[in-house]
Amino acid sequence: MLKEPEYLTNINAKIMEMQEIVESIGEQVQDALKNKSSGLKPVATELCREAQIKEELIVEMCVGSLIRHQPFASDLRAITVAMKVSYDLSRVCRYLRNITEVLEEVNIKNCEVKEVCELLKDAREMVRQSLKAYFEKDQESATNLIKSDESIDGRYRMILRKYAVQKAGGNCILFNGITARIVERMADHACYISQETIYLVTGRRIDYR
Amino acid sequence: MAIISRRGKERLIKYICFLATAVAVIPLLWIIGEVVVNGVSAINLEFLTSLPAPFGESGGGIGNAILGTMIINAMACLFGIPVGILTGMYLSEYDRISRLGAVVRTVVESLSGVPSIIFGIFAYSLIVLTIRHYTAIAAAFALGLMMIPLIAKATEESMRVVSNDIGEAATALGIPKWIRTTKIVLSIAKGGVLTGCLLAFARISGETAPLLFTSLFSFFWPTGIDQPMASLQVLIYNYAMSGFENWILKAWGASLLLVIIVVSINVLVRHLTKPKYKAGV
Amino acid sequence: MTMTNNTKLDIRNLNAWFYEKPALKNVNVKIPDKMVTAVIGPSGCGKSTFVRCINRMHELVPGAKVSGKVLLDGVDVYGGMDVMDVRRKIGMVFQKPNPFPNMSVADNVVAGLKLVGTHSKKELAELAEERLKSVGLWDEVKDELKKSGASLSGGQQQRLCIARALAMNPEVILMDEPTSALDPASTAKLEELVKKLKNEISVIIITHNVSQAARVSDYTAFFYLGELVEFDETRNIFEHPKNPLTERYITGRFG
Repeated sequence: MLKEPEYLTNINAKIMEMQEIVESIGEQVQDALKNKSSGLKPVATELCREAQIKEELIVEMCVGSLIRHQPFASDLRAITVAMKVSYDLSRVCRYLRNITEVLEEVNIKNCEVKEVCELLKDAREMVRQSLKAYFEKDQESATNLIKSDESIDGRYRMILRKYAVQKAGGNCILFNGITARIVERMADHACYISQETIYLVTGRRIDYR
Repeated sequence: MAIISRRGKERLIKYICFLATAVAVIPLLWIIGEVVVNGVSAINLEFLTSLPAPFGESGGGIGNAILGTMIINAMACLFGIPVGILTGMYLSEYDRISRLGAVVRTVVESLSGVPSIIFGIFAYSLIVLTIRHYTAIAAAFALGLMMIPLIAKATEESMRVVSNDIGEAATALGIPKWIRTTKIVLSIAKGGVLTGCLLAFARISGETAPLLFTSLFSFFWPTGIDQPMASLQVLIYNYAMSGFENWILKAWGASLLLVIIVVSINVLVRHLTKPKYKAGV
Repeated sequence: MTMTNNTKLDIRNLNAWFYEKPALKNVNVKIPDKMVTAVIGPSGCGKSTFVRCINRMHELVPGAKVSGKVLLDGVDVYGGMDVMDVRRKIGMVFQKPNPFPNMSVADNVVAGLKLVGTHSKKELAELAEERLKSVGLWDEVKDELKKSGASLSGGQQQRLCIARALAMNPEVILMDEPTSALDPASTAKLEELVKKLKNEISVIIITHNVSQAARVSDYTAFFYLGELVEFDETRNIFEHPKNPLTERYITGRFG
């Protein structure tokens, strides 16, 4: 592909900054989950706000580039994809914050959380990989990543089935159900990022449904 | 050079140009001045309308020369203008690149540099010797030939410019070539063509050498175009060297007339070429 | 949007030369009917030559040579038709507006008919009005119909030239960078007109302004060094061109 114009490099730098925030929240949430601790919500909210500001800035930069440079072909696709990726990242942020909200409200001291912990770890890895594929414009990685969403889906449904038949421990059922759902949505957004990456490279949109 | 500052250099160049212009213009103005001063006293109605008086007598005029010049010039135009325009049209529209076109163009251009006396001799040997007497027709022929290169060149150049821009539009509309050439290109270029004709006319008004071999001179009113005819140019030639004061004065008067004609034509041309061809964009 | 349209111009193996130097190399393309096709490419790529081969104007240039077929509704313009007919059926508008300065606005519109045919004055006047209306010029010039064609503004002159070409009822109209010499407002008006024209006839427009091609055309042809590199629906060319050369050109990497 062509050498990236400067305005695109700047936009991608901002996306990288968003990624750092997401990583930071993700790590903290992972720890909180492992240690079954709460109190993370204010920090998460603050970090999420930062991420949202960055997203708004990215959209502004994209619109500004559209006006100024009137890009076509791969440049045009890069701008539209950048806007979508930043949105997907902001959703990931939001979901991580949602987890801290649930941690706040539900006491999980006596709950089994290993499955959702693993799920969260893998989903975070998916987000990381999808962004790597995006920055490197790696069509193959992106395609593989979309395939791996199936396994996340499978594990999510397993968790649902497991807790659907439990009779006692309402807090644990609630917690695991909601958190698994949140993490599954996170993985979905990692998929969307990969789909956009494939569009960025090939110019075609594939129907993934 | 440190001695002359930059501003000094500017002024120096300016003055040199001015001086050169003065050297060019002053003699011209001087000539015109002399002609006016010496000739104006000769101009009166009798001068303009009557025949020359007998030798030594005072009075009389150059009426026959004026009429003769008009007739000869008119005939020259009748011959030179159509041929010149058609030649220019040919060069511009029908033959821009072939060998033949290049040859024609070269010949036409060279002709404009040929000394006028050659035209005179040519017309002399072709016509005068053939019909065995001096005749105004030969003069018209020679002068007409001299007009052709000027008119052809002016026509070709004005038509070519128009042809490139506007002519393309006509072609693209599917308009046949002869209509395009005449009704559009020539019609738009007519200013340039007219200018060429006027300048050619001004030129031949001043030529004397061809007339010496062809129309010669006459002291009478023109009797027929196949006969010798008086003309202003030859009159000046004869009278100026005659030694008769009366005639010398008449020569100055005739010179003044000629200068007036030529200068007015040039002024007219300048006036006509100014607000030309407003092409909008 | 798929290419299921009728073909107006079927161009086969078109080659063109200037004094033995090739200007167009083996061009094959089907120009669709009643659509706007843009022709883009860097300077000297042959787009002007290509278009001028369509209405047989290229051969008027000294040293020019053409081979191949240009089929207008199946009939080859090089041989199957009288050349004057070709130019009446395929009109052209040039980069620099060139109304006839020795004719009035109204006469300019119908020049192609008036100078050649035997239409009545009334017919010509009606046709002039109709055509001036169709290019959106009527209201602006209806009180000045007798003024010289060259007295209008640049944008108006160009629309007048379009009206003049349209008065011949062509089936195709070729436009060689028609807005190059115009200001942005006139350019916008002209682009609107171009988009409207495709309801009546096929339009081929050369433009060095890639954005203009994106704005007005349905199909785009990209030329480079005398060859047709890519021809596709405009949306495809500008979203995901197939050829890397096309990509480089429209993203401004060269040309």
